Amino acid sequence: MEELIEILEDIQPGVDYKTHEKLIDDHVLDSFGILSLVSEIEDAFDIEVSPAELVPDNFNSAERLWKMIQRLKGEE
Amino acid sequence: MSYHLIAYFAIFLPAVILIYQLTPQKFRWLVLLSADYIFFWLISGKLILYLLFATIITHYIGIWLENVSLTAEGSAKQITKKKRRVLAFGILINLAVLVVLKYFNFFGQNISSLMNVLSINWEYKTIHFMVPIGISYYTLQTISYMTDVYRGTLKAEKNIVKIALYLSFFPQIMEGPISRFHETAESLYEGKSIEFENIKFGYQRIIYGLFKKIVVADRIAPVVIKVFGNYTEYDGSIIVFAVICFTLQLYMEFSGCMDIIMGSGQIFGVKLPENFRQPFFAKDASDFWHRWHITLGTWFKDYIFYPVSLAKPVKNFAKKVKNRFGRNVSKFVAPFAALFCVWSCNGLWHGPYWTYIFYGMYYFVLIFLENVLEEPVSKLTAKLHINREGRGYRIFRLCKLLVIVNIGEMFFRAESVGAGFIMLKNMFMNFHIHKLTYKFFDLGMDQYDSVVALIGILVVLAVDIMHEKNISLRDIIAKWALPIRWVFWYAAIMFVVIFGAYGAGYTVVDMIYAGY
Amino acid sequence: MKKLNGKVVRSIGFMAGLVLILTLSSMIFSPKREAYNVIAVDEKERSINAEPENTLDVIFMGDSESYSGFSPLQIWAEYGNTSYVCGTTAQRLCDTYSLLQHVFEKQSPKLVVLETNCLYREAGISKESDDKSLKLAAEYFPVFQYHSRWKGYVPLTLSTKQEVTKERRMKGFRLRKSVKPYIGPLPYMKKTSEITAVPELAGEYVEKINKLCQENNAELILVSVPSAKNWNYSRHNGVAELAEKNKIVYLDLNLVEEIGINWKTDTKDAGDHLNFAGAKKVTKYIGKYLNEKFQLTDHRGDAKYQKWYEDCKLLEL
Repeated sequence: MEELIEILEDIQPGVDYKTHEKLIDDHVLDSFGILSLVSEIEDAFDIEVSPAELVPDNFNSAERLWKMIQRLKGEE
Repeated sequence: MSYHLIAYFAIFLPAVILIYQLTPQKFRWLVLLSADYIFFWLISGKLILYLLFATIITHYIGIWLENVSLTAEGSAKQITKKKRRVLAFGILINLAVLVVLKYFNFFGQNISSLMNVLSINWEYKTIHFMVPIGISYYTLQTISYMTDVYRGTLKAEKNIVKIALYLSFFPQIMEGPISRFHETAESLYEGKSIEFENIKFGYQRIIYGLFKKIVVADRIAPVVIKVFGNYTEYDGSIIVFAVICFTLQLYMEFSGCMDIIMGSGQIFGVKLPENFRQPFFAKDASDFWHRWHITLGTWFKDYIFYPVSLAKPVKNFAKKVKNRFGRNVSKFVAPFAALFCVWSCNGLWHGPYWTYIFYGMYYFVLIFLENVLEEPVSKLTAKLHINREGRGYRIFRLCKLLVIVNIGEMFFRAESVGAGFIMLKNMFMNFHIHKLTYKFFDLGMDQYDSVVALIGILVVLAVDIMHEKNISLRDIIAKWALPIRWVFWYAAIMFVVIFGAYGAGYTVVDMIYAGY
Repeated sequence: MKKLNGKVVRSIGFMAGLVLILTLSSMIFSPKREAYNVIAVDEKERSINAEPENTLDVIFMGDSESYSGFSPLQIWAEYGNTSYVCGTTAQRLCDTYSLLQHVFEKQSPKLVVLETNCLYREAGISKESDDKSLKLAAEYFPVFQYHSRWKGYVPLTLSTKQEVTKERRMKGFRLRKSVKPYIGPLPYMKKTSEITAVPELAGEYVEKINKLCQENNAELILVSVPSAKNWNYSRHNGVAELAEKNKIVYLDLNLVEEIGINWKTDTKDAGDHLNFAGAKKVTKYIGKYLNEKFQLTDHRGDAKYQKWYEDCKLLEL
């Protein structure tokens, strides 16, 4: 989780990722941000994110993201 | 029939509402579907067969996809591979119809001219295709449905009626918004009773849309037609004025029609996705496209931008670039490829003309540059101690955006790409402001029209500012005492009736986005 | 249920109020007289109102041919007669009639010149818009048809230099200098005994207009302005027949060689309308003709008409 937060802060600093729950709906992360985020977490956690996963539900908060990562790890 | 005509909002729509409400809930879907098909028939006649074909194919592909994942044997990878083939087949069929009807001549003519350049004598004979209304919109909806089923975010729909309703809802068939299956299909099928509040709010929004379309957009239209049609005859100052007029016309017209469409949807309890969010308050070109024709943008994002950037070849190429040039270069590989695909498609989607393709490429370059320059610019502004949220910077940003958008729309509307460049050149090399003041009332709007157009634009600006600040005007009005409310709505209706640019002395202007 | 009833009653009330307002506004916006091109007729009524009472000797009526061909300021400069072009775009005879009624309220012209091209315009109302339902609505609530007349009720003077004021100063003449040669066969007036009769309704209207002129002590004459595209010999015969029947003077300028229209240089749109060069020639001839045939007063030197000199200067004639 700490690693994820670090990645997030690297991509878009100045946001409290621990509490923010509307990263997509509030336009904190735009489509480019999501792209760099995906490529970072793919490398960091050794997973593969398919286009189907790129929905606000998975990206609105750090916690949701973490859940998705865990789920994808399980599928590997 | 278009949405801004009395025939639609004063006859067709009320008739459908009445019949819908009088019919038992179980059969209301039938009323809606009949209304959809009658509406389609009134405009495109027999071409409704294309819509029926798309409906059946889409329904079938959905079920096929689900069957593959339930019954196919083999590893998960093999199943995915098989599903992918089914999806590709489905998309190909639907897309092929669109491409042949809309683009066949374009490619034929261009190949022919290319052959002539290579001195091969082959003349392409233009085939006249009848294009059904709304095909550019419903085709995208079929693709999003099939892809969502493939991805597993959506269950395949067994009931073909829901697919039919989803693809053909009459308020949105002509010019969108492009909705997703889960957004509209259920509420269309459900047949919920129409609520009084919804009729009221729906028609209020329709009145506001008519105001934008008939009072403002149609009033400005003659200037645009005149100047863009004879661009060589006018001074740069007049061209600048006409370009601004076109941008305003397009916004008023498209967002106005959207208001009529959303209002119609709301009456039936269908929440169509919004297509506009105060586009002129955007930060930059890419933010502009998050606020202008939103449903087209999100469609491209979900079904082109992400898949392309996450595609294996793109990823592999990015890795190679990373090894050679480092992360600072490689991180732009995926956006570059994806944006290029998105904006080629965006340009072509509007129609088979080079002006549209140029328009797409224009935004591709701009948005990619914004993406690349974001980091250097933020470093630079930080060094120079420029506050990027300060007033001065925001005004600069707004001016920049307006220039970008207006030049884009100029190429979009120009007779040809070459004509666009001539207009652009005139703006800079041949600009005499006195020519504009001298000819101002001679361009298609007399002084009365100009004043009404200006008032209309200011009203819309005020409403947009309020929306940007999350103030709901409708709720404020609803809280007023009944007599005041009535006076307000009577005044609004009569304003449209009296100051609308329709009837004798004005030309009928078709909906622009229904042509795409 | 009770709550719903309240809502139903209220919405019926709202609709009733709307119908009432539409009816009232229809009464306000409907024109006094029946006319086809109300907007143009309105503007013309306003502009002729700006002329001082009883100062006009000749009124020109007709469609675009009339205001492209007759230049009142030139007639003033050459013969000292005062005239005004009340021709409007695509004028129908019902417009002519209604405009003339208005003219006679403040003016007492000796002559009314009717350009003949409008006799062959279809008398019916043409399609103004494709929205049939709008037409239907306009039948019940004329405000849908005449709403643009609000422009006539609101005084607005944003700019001093304007096409409208210019046209008014030119007494209804439209000065257009562009040239687009006529490339059709010449001569276009080939003698024939064929007759294209003036449509019946138009004939009736000419009678009505003639009667209106007589009642107001004016003489009606018919004139055809040269137009290679619109005019031909069988139409000439049709108008001649009508003129004879009603004992009206008819002058066909298409047959007057003396005018010397050059179809390469004197038309603005390939033989349809005359441009400024063509209008000069036609006006010169019609001025002479009217003064020879009718007794018109030369007002030059009369202080009352000082303004005409000024307008001439302004337009560099």
